[in-house]
Amino acid sequence: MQLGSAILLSALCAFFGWTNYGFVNLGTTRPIICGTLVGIILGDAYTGIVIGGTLQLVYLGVQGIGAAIPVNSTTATTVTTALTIATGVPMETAIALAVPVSVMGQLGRMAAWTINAPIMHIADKLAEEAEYKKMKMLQLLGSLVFYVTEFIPVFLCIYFGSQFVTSLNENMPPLVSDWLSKATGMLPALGFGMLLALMYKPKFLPFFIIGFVMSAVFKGSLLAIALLGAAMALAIFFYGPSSQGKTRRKAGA
Amino acid sequence: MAEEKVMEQEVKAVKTLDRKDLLKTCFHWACFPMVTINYERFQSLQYFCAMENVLDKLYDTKEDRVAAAKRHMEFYNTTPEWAGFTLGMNCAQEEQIANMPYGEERTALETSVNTVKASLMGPLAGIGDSVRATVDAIIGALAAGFALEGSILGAIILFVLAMSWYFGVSYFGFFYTYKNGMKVIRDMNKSGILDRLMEAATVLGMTSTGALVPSWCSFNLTSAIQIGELTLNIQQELDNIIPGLAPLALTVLLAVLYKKNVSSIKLVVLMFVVSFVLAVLL
Repeated sequence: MQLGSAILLSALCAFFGWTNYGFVNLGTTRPIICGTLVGIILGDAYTGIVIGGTLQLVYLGVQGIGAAIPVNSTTATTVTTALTIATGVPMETAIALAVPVSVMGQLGRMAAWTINAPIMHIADKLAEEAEYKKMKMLQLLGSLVFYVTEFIPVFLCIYFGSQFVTSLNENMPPLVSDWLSKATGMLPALGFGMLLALMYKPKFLPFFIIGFVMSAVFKGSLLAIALLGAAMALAIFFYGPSSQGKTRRKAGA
Repeated sequence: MAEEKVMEQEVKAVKTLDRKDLLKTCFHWACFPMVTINYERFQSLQYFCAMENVLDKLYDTKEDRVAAAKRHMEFYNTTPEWAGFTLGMNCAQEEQIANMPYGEERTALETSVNTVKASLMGPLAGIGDSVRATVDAIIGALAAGFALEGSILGAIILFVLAMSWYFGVSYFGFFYTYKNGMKVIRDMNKSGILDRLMEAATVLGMTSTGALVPSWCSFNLTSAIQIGELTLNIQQELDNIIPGLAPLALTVLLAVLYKKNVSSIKLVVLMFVVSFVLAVLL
């Protein structure tokens, strides 16, 4: 890929990862949304939507808890979508790149969190002088830091990744393509597994089984099963005595 | 004493926050909670920036303005949409402080501004992070169902649901605590309503996850193995037991490993190794 188009693509891809931190938080960091938008801008909405959907499932259980920065699912989605559309390689090949890209994106954010620390000291000095307007201006600096740290990993991945993906695609032995498509099919299990680990308590197991059987055996649509789940959730919310009793005991003690 | 009272009444009429000020603070935070986040003091500067217009309006003397700025530059970190619960309360407190005469009472209230922040940000993050994880997972999974069929509806559904949740919680938390103060948190704890909400959300989450496993994890062992006379079609045999058994087993295995603190990166590597073995063998 040419340097110029790589820079343009990176600027676009970095924008979406940047929105969550450096700009108005509009949910555009979620894989489905940023994948769809990148797809539309690059003129192949379908690819963007499907890659976004796939990666949304892979990263379903990836959540920032406390001060930990999760792997960057946004850069993974935007870079994968851009590479698939720009180089014309099959989706499965490009998705294999998503994992290293998401780690690069995570490193970029960690760098931003570190670089931003000195801003606090500037802000402290300004606070001593009650310079409110100047303190607010510091936000622009933080915003810029997030764009740059988002852009650098994305650019590296797109510029070097495109060569890698293209050459891989041209000399791909059938074994490798079989391997990659199997791996891509398996990857969503990671999202489900992490989600399961996050929510698991023995008392919630019945609902997991109900959902599984409704889908695998009775072939229910996801929306229908979600409605069933919502019905059970409402029933538990309205009738469930368990937590009520627990807190009453706590309040009494 | 009598003099103080007169003064208090005189000042009281002067400084109030109107709805526009409050909305500005609420949405400044909701839109820019992370811009200067860092490993040292996390969201503290953003907290100040959200409060800036309120403080600017309430305080005139330089001493007051410096003290107020320092108050809101203290360490702060919580789940963005749940920060409204302390922001709203802090706005109510600042409004009260600005209308108080200097003295012990005022100093005590100034200290309580940060007590509120420090004592609530932990519990709020605890509730907020796990509720967010559950809500994100449910709506993400729902939307992914549409997206994988190539429908743009996936992105639209996710955007609408995620944004209504995010701005809904931000707005509700802010104005509810602004009006009711500390009472809110006590009420919520007493009725156990948050626990029950979490429980209900988890039920929905578990059901959806169960439904997702067989439908979106395409993990087919299509090839057949010849063992002498017998042709063994693994996928068919598995499907005869129960459809979707292979993805289920894989998901449970990954969940168990993840619970045992195997990092997600290692699990991804493991899956690439397993799929390579499968690709070679089958």
